[in-house]
Amino acid sequence: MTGHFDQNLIRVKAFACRLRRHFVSVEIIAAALNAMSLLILLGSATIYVESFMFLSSNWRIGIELAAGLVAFTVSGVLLFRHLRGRLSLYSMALIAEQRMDSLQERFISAIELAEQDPSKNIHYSSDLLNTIVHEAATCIQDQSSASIVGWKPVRYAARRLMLIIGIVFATTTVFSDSFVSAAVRCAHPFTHYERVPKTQIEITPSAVQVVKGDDATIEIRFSGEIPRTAEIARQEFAGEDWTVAEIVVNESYANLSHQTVRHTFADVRNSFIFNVQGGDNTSDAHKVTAVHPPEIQKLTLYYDYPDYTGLPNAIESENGNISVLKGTQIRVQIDASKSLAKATIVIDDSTHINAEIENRKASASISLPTITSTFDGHEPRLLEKGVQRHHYRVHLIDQDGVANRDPIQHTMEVYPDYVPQVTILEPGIDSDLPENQSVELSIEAIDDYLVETLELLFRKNGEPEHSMPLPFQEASRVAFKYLWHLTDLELLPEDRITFYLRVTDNDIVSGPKSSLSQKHTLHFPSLFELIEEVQDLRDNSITSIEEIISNDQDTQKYLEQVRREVLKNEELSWEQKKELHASLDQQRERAQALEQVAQQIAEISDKVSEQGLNSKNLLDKINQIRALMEEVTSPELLEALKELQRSTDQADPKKIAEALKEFGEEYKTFEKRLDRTLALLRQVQIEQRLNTIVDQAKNLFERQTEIGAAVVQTELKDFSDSTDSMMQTLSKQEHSIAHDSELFQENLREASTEMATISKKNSKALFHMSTEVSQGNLSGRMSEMATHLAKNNTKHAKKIGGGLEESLGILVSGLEQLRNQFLANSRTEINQELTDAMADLIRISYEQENLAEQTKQERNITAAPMLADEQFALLRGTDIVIKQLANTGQRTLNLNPAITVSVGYARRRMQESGYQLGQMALKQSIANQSKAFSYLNEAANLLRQSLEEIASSAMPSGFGEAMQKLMGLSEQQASLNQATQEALGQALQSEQHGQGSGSDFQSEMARLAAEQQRIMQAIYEIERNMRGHSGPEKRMQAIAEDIQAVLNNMQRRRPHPRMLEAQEHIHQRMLDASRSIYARGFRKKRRSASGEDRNYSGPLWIPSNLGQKSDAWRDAMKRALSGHLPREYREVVQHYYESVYSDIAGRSDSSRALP
Amino acid sequence: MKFWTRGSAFFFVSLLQTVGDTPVAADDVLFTIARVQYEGGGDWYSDPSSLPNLLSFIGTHTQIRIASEEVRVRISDEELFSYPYLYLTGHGNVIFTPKEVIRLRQYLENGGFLHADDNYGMDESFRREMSKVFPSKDFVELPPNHGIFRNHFNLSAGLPKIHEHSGQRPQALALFEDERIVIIYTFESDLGDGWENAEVHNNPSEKRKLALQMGTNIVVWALTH
Repeated sequence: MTGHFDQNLIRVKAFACRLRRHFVSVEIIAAALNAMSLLILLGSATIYVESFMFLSSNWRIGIELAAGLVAFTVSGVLLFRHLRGRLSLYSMALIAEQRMDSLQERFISAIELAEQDPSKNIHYSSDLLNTIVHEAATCIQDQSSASIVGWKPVRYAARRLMLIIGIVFATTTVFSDSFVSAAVRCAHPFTHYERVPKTQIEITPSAVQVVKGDDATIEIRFSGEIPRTAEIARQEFAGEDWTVAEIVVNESYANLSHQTVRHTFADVRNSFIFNVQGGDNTSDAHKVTAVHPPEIQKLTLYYDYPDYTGLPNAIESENGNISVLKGTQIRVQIDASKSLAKATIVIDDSTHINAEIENRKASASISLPTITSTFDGHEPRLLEKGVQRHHYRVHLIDQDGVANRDPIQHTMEVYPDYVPQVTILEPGIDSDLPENQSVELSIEAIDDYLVETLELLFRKNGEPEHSMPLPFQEASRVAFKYLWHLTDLELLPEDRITFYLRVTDNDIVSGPKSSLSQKHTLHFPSLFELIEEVQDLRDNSITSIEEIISNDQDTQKYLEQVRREVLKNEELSWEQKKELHASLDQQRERAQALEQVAQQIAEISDKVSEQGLNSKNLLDKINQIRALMEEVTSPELLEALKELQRSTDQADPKKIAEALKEFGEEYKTFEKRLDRTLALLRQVQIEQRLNTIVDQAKNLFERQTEIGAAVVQTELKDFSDSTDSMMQTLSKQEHSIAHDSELFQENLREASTEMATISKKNSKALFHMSTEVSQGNLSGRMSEMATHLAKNNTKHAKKIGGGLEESLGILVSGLEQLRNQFLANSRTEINQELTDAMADLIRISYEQENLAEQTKQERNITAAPMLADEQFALLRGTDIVIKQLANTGQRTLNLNPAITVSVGYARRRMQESGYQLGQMALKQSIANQSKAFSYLNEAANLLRQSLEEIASSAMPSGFGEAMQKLMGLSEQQASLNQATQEALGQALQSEQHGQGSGSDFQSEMARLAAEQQRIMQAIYEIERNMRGHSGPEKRMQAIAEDIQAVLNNMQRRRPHPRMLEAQEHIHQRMLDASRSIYARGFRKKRRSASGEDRNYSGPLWIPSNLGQKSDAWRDAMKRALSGHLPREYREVVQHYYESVYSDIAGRSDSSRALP
Repeated sequence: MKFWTRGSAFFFVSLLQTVGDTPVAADDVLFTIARVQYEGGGDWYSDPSSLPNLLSFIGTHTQIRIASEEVRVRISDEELFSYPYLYLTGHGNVIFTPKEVIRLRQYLENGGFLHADDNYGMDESFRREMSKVFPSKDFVELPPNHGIFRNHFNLSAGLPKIHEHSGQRPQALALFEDERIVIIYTFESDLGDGWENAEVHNNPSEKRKLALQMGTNIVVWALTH
């Protein structure tokens, strides 16, 4: 072996070693790339898993470690397995042989030979060996290890890596969001990540602040997975349950990337937190803070009035409304509930006044006169004369910028200095001058500050106006009465005084303002005017009643016809019902018309009474007619009317028939009363007319005589201006007489016409007198005399006056004679008729008594028909008497109504007796006969009394007396009611305390029962006096029945609340009964009509001292009690002061004057 | 605590109860009017249906929780101070005993309120008795611009005239204790008749409504001042 061999072998071995290094390098690189690929693959897988599962940090660390481990382990193992057994030179030689065919196993042989173990002692030739080695060395000489081993594994590994990277990249692109975030999380395995929900919720604004009571609105933005609905949970106070509300987010499941929903928390009263839960996400808690707006706690107004008013400064803190005089400075002080940043007073929504702020207080000044001019053209509304009306609001903003809510609108009324006002309260109307020629003026004057002067201005007829200052105490409101004597004005009948008042105030700034009252007229009425007025009223009354009667003739027939039809057909057709209703409405209207007539008659009565017209006797008659009128439309008739109306509505034929019957009966009574009232009224009319013309004639005669005497006196005086004036006055008076004498002639003619219906003889006499007056030319002569008087021609005037006095004297005498004759004749006539009736009654009574005696003694029953005939004959006689009485009753008021009632009772008994006798019932008839003659005697006796009353011209007085008694009894009943109430109250209290009603109660109830019994007896007595007056009589019976029921309760001596109601009912009935009789008098005292609206005429301001005078004693007590005294001492101190105070108060026990 | 503040608190509790959900025992907060039972012979019990009607009206038109019935109380009764609002009426004589005078004064000075309604005929005696209760105070007339005519219902014309009586103008007269009205005396108006059932006096419904509104204003004023 040579040195070449070794070199070649070394070269071969070196090559093999190079090969091996290269091979290992390639394998390692490929393994590294593979490991990387695997790592990327596993890493991607991990990221995918993470993106889906949102792993925790530990998991991520674990998985990532595992992935790394797996990747490197697998790569290492593969590398190891790849390299294992392949790192020997032989293996390298094999690789080289495989790659290089040209080696033809030389390289492997060279390695093998070179590596041959000498111990094995295998001998190859050295040449062979050299050759092989040499060839091998030669073959590999130009070969690089890279060309033999190659980079194929690396390339493959790199391709895989690239492929994996590509796949991962592609996947990342598709699932970028989730993948990237998952990759980030995987890249930071030690970092803790919260899992990102699918649904993202974003709330704006994040914190809300609202004013308490307002709505809070938020916007919720959903992104990611948009849920269909979401929930808003709300909690006001920690620990409270959450209130959950559902909201709709994506109802249609539309594929949306995001959705925004608006939600409003309405009327937020308290702060709260809320969150929104939607899909897999729940938002953070957000807060809505309710803040209190600033509020006005107190609004104080400081008034600084103009100096001239003299008013002290005032403070008001009631309601913020301003009501002041123009020119007043006002400071508004606001106490707010919070510290303020700004306060503004906004007047009429246009003028802003910023207030000065000091913490919670704000104040601003308003100067009223500037308001009008600075209101940006907004003229204040003028609702009342001179009053400016505005409004203002106070706007507040607190330190947090929160404004007050709905500021209250306060009124601001600016009054001018008013013109003073004066009113004449009494007589507030034009009126007649009373006889004493003095008028009491009730005056009320007001000014906002001071009434300074009051003047009475008056004018007689057309003469110049006079003025008279009135004395009074200056004040802002003056109310006083002034008695004005007009005697100095030498008024004559028919003179008119027009008067009014002028008031001035104390306004020293713009000068005193004045105003006038309404003008009124006082009229000095002449006798003739008064009489005319009364006659007109009376004539109207008669005409009204005549009209009512003439319109009402067939009502009864109609009612009876309807009643029969109802009974026959058992129903009313619709038309019949309508007709009946219309008829009932007419009746109601008639009743109302009659009430008006009653009022007219009451007016006549008042006039006659006030003016002293006519005689006392005639006045009594008018009053009696007035009472009759009030009874004509009785409550029973009205009740029957109502009942009929009700029953027709119910359509029950039986009830309708009954109601018709009852109404018919009441209606019959009504008609009778109406006829009688009319007849009496006519009678009175004539009587009054006669009285009137006599009075008028007397008046003319007296006035003529007075003028005659005055003329004589004037003649005796020297001629002077006053005489001339006197003659002019007398001339005027004579003219007045002339005018009245014409009226008188007219009255005389009318009286003659009216008298014709009653007495033709008297009518003729009156007519004759009228003719004489006319022929005597009284008024012409009087006018002539007046002319002479005006010319101061006393001689002629005296002559004519003498003649006139004579004529008038004859006239008066003749008229008086005629009147007396008429009254006497009338009275004699009535007297005669009543005497005849009384005689007839006595005769019938006598016969009735005989018949009764005869019936008693009669044993033979067959005589009964004969006795019956006699009985019926007597009955017929009684009917004639009743008719007579009815006729006479229409001409006199002196006929006691109880007479007809007694005769009526007698008639009924006689009729029953007649029937009983007809049925052979002798014994039974005796009782009726006895009763009948007893009633007849009673009637005769009453007639005798009436005759006596006619003789003495007295009016039956039982009626009025009874009503007076009833009034007294009603007062007693009221006291009794109260006593009962107290007793019952105590008893009920005792029972509640389980003590029983007690013996005191028993004895008290016994006492009260006795009192009630006494009242009942008195009511029975009144009832007897009321016999004949059906209305009052029935009312008395009803009251007595009620009392009896109460008495029954009282006698049980058990407290029963119903008893009180019953007693009150009795009291009410009594008042109603007395009121119905004295209806007009009651109304005059207390008008029960609804009040008519009246304008306010009182002071416009409350006095600054609020009606409180200084009270040293009370102040002292308050001071004494203001210290910290023990309770016992306080009581003693208070007791002491109160006792003394009561003594002081007791001394001033006078009622307080009206403010 | 002054009595009137109790009245006000009582009123506000009533208000709150209607707003909040917190249940409040009904018996504790029902407002009623106490009719004064006095001596002297006057019919203190007159107009029996008036107060129940007024209470019902107040219940309907305000937030005040009211009792359906009036109560009756004498000035000398222990319970007087339990009632913030007294009502006195009648046609006749009113007399208070010296003890009652003192007690009524204490009641009014400590926050109580009295509405006296002249039912015709009690004017003279009522003024006499009030001059005993408050000798140093005079009634002052409240003009139509006073808050009592506007605090709930707007009665711009002032006190309504319900019944004619003597035909005089109606007057709302007030007696003050410091700045607080303690007595309202409605003279020549007769609110009580207006509160009665329609058929009692046959007043037109407008008149009755005015009377009830005025009555409500007086009650609201008494409870809030």
